[in-house]
Amino acid sequence: MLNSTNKKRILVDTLLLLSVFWFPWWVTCVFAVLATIVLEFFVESLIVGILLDTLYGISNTSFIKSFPLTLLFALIFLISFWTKDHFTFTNR
Amino acid sequence: MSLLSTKMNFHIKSKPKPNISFSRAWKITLVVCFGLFLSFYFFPTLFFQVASPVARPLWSLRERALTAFGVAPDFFSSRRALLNENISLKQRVRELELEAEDSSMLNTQGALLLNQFEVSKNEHKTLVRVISRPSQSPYDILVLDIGNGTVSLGDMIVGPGDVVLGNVIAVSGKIAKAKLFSSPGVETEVELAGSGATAILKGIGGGNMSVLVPKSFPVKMGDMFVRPGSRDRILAQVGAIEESEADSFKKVTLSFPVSIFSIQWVFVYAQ
Repeated sequence: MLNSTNKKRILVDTLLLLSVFWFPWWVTCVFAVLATIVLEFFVESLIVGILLDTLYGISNTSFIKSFPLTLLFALIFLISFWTKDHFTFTNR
Repeated sequence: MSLLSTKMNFHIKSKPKPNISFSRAWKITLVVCFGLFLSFYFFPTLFFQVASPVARPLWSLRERALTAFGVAPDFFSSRRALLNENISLKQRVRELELEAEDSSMLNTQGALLLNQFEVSKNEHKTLVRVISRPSQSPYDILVLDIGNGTVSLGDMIVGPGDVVLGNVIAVSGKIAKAKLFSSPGVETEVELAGSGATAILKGIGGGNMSVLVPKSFPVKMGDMFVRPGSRDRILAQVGAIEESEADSFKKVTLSFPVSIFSIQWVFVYAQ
């Protein structure tokens, strides 16, 4: 049986995947960044970056220019992970 | 003294350790990036070929839904953008009304010339549906549903009003990707219609292009630039000219005469 965390995660993944195809790119980006911050170990953001760069990107001669969003999401993923590992946010 | 001797028994709450360590996240990121790096050099179209068959039905579903509910493809444009577009379109209508009489005469002459040289007979074109356009994509890219049509790399994309928009850069199954001339960094050789003066436009995104020309360059607002060698099809229209007395150059900003944010059908001309 799926617990509520897993259900939430599957829902977020589905919405994020659909937003890649249905919504403007910036909506997907905002959604992916928020999910990376809120959810634990949200490695799916890398997949979203790859999809955006692959489907809508321009084939370039340089690797960095070909996958800018993937690399950006990778950076955000690492920063968010490190931040969550070192800080605790609580409600006052 | 009594204060110093007081024992301070605080219950220190330790932060629960996450199951997955930062080093593991770092390793996963490195593996993904390395995989991408390898695919970029050895199989550059691999991801597009894998993703496009999955993407096609989802894009088509979106297009059908938008059509069924009567929503324009540029549904997510901001109110300010729509207002600006409305103002510019009103100006454009006024200009077009003035140009209409002149162009009808020129069109007749052009058609006669084309018939004489039989240029159009040699061109093979396919009408295709646009299933993803800028505002949905971060770059100026059109995703085309080519169906069973034959489209190959380098083919020219021509929009409504015979406006040349870009070239096909990737084809996978029934999906093709076209890069517009307004994509950031794309350089295109153009000719000022009627004068023969040439320039190289540079794409700046959002359907816009710019060019730096000498002050003596004979260009004014509303002028059209055509693409030489493609039956002199219109490519861009001058939208703004910036010049200062101190500078010997002027910056000309241009845009496509059609809105790329709501384009639904294009022709693909085989090269």
